[in-house]
Amino acid sequence: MSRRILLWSTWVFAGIVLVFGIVLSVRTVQMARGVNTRLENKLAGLEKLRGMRNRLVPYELALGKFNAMAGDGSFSPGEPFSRLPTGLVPQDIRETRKELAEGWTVVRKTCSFTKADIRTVMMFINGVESRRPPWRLARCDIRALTPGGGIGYVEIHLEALQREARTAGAP
Amino acid sequence: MKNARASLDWARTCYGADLQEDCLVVVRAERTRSGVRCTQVSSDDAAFRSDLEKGVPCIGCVPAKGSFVRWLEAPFTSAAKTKRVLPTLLDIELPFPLSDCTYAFLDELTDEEGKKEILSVAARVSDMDGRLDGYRRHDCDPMVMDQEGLAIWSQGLTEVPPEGDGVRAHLHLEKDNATLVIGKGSRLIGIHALTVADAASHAFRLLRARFDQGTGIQWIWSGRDAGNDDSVLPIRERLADWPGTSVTVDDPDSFLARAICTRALSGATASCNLRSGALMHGGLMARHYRSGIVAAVATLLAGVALCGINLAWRGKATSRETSIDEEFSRLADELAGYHVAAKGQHACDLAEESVKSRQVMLDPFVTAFDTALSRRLLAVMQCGKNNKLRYSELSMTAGNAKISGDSETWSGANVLVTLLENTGSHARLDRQDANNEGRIPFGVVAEGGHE
Repeated sequence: MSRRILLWSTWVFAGIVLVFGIVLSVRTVQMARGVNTRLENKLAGLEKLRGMRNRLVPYELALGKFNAMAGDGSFSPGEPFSRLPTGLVPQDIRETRKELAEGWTVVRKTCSFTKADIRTVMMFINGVESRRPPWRLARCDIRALTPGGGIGYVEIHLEALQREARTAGAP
Repeated sequence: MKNARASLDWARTCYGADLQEDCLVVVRAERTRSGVRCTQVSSDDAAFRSDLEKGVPCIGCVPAKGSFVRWLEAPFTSAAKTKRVLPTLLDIELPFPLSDCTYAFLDELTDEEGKKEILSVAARVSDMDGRLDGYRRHDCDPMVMDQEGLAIWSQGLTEVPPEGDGVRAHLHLEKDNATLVIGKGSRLIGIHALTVADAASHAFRLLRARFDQGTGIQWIWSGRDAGNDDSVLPIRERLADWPGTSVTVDDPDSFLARAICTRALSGATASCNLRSGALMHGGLMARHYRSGIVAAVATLLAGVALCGINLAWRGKATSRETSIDEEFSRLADELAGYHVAAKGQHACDLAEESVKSRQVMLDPFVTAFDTALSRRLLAVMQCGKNNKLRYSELSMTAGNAKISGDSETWSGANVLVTLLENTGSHARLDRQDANNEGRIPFGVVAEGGHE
């Protein structure tokens, strides 16, 4: 009798566990569709963020390069208009500054020349851009005095990055 | 139908024990690749006794005179309905209550008209007890109790194949009783218990009731007295009205013992075990119990595995989701530069906003070494010189250019447009009629060039 009871109870228990397993499977299958969609959406969002991070990589690398160049000290590109070619007389020099990240500032110097030899201006720009750290031409406006004459009003906008020496405790 | 098959699928060896009035005829059967190999052994054989103690199955049988075999006509085509009414139909056929009997339903036959017949076999429990006591007196406890007539018929078909669909009569002659099994081809018709003293006339009456005199019958003889002419010849003379071939099986003494153990090992379709229910052998009961427990435990394990797989999958899915969420939050925080409490698309938008402002902030670092504008300016100047273009105004930034001047020919400024477009700009050229110098004034506006 005890054997029969043991067999019967084993079957009942096995049946309950099996039914529970089947019910769980059905619910899991139902749940799986929702989970898969949710995971796909989340992965898509994650991919979007990874794409953003990848987009930032060249920017961060460039900043890192400048930080490495500057070390902990200051970083100055010098004065571009201190040694102008003969015959190139600046009419007006203006300077604007814009704060960037990690103590860096972008300096923009605008210089205008009246009756300037355009070829000389071009040589000047080449010389300034080949310096390290560089100044780079950001904008150029030329108005010829006589068409094709090679002389005119020239306004050049040069940009460079600059950093003051870091003070202790500064971020 | 009652689960009363005698087939011992699990056994490789068994013993068939034919209980006769004064002795026990024992045959050892072994399953081989080609079938079942039988060897007669003495009932006192030490190996036989030792095997019985070890639990090797022993097969016995109930005699035809202590049991009933009937073909029941199925009243329904539905197997399920038929199954329900079979005990009632058998009860009607039996001379005593079915509750006093142990019974089984075996083969199904469908005739040409589609009528279904089921072979049923039954024995009174009291007769079974008596028979089992008889075996126990020989220190033998059969695990399976087959039915004598069925065993004789199926073994007869094996050892003496039927001659087409002709009538077959198998007479199994023991010392005090005889069994007549009649069939047609391989289809069993009836099993009849006869007394040896009256065997000839009883068989005569049975055959005359079924077959016309002169009908050819394949006669098969077996049993202890099958080789005894004093017993066989009077019967043959009496049954001379049904001529035909007559074959005495090899080793007729052990035929029945051979039949029951062969059926048990080979799983003959009409094999049966009347020792079922309350009469079931302890060893078989234990085996059924073990197989029941194994099946229940297997089911339990299947259920546990099913639950485990599901829970593991859910756990894995949750952990994957959590890790994605964590990575998402970490990246969003990193990109935004502060803790982003928002989730999903909103968090992406906040991160995008921060990334764009950071890009604007860091753009001067990327373009610091970029001399594209001066190169473009130089190229524009060179283009003007080579193509005799005279510029009157020129304004260029990294992305845009605005140039005005005049050219010698109408198409002279096209080359300038091509140059600007090669740098990725979308350039627009405006020309006017020739001026008083005969030159064509033009204006070029280019937007979206390389930074």
